[in-house]
Amino acid sequence: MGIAPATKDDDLVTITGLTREFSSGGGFLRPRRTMRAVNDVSLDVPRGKVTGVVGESGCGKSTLARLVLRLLEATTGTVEFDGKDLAAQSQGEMRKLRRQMQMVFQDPYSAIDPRYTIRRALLEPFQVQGEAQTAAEAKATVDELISMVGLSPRMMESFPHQLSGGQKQRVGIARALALRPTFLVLDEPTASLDVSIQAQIIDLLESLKEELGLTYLFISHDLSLVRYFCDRVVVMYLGRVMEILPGAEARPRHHYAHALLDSNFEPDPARRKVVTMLGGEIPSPFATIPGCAFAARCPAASELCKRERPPLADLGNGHMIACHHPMD
Amino acid sequence: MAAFDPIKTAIRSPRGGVSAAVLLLVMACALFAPLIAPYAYDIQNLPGSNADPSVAHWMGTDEFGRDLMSRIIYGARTSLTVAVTAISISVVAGLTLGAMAAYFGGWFDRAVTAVVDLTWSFPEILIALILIAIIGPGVGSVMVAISIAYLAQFTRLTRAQIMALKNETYVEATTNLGAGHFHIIFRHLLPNALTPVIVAGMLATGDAIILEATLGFFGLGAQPPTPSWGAMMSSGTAQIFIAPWIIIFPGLAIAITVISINLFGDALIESLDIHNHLRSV
Repeated sequence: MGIAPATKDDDLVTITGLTREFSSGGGFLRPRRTMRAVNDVSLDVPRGKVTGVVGESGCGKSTLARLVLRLLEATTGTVEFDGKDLAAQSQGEMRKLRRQMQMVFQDPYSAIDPRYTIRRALLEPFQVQGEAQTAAEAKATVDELISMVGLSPRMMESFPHQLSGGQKQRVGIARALALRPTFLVLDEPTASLDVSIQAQIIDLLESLKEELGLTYLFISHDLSLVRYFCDRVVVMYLGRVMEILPGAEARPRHHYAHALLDSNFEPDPARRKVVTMLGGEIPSPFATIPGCAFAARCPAASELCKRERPPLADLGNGHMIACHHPMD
Repeated sequence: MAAFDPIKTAIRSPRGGVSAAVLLLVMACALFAPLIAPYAYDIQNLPGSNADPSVAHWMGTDEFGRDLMSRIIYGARTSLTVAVTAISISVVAGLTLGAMAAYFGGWFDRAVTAVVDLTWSFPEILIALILIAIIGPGVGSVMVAISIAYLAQFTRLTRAQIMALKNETYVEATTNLGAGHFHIIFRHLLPNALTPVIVAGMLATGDAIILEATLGFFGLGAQPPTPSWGAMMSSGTAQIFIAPWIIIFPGLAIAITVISINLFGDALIESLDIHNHLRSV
């Protein structure tokens, strides 16, 4: 069991013991197999900060993002948004709450309905929320949103596939901001964009955060981006939180987090160091691991690690680690 | 930028234009039959039976001496009404069932899929014959039978479309804006799934005209003296060696109508593709 961090007033989102299971297979004489995509995750997202979640693909980052917004129902555990337990909200209350929590998706190419013009896509949030607008109000809203994300008003009547990937992602961001949310989940918002466009989108997200006082949960597998962009970094492995780094400069002390962040390419040859290579294979996500998920590949693993799951312990300063034998 | 108007684009293509003109002619015949037809469809003239095509009777007369051209013009009413009504009912029902099955899944999906797969494994004509054997012959029965016979096709097609679409990111994005099932199904899923279903419906209308004619041929559709192309061909079989025009002209009417519907359906498939349209802008 992880230790639930105490709720503080400055936390916008508090996640406690969150677990989501998926099952697959099953049929005549074949058992259903269950995997835990997210396994007992406890985490808080401080207000006005960027919390990054990193990990390899398949480690449960995207599932976590969807659980936090209740786009998926949790198997167990709770997500509290601004002190309200999301699972306890009725459909109507949830609809109202969604105004405050929005998401920017990984794939801008399919994030907008191909039959919708940009104008229609940007007005949809108001339509869905049952907010009637006059033609003049609608025009003002769309104009404002479009200029907020740095698009030209000429694009209003365009269809999504007349835009580039970066432009589409800007539309995705504008739509997420339409209802003036306080909390934005960014699910790898730059993963399907060119490197030069990535930088523009990150700059845009950074300035919007300052301008609108937003709180971000930033899901990514791009380590250098996370280090650059995030105030806190959560390292996940096989659905579990391995380490929470309080700042971009904090040195990882978990063996997995260390190896992961170490694998980041250093452009300056003088600063390059020997990279820790990990042996072994990632265990099957269907396997039940009684101990530490990383024990099979960890250089410091002991019998204890294979037997007993290390709790997420506080090292001070909000630096949390789930390891029996942390690095010095 | 030009508005997206698939029907206009379809008509502008050569085969779309020609087939649309023929279909309009057939529809005009059906609508204005009493004004166009030179004779009434049910006036018998036994001395003039089985007459050759002539200036007075362009397509000749049938075994009761009725003007064949007038009967074919009136017959367009039966064929088109039955086929279009039956397929419309079938498409609407198939869209609803398929969308609900795919979207909500679970036992409802399994039940719909099981029934649809069962009916899918029989030819349409067999299903229609069984149904008419149960509810009795007549125009109404033929409509019901045809619409049920084609239901499986549209349900399956819609279900497959919605299954693919419901995992698109924009559906998740809309959910996250606070949208309910109704908004997602009617504003996103169905509009995107509609194109192939409409085209399949269009093409099935051609088949339905043939099915109606077949049932009419067996004497299960419109009852005499109401003219139907299939029933006319059926009565023509007895005269095939003395008056072949009795079977040839209704057969031509069926063939030309069905071919036109298929050609227009093809033109529509191309013009409905929003990507094709936008690339040209």
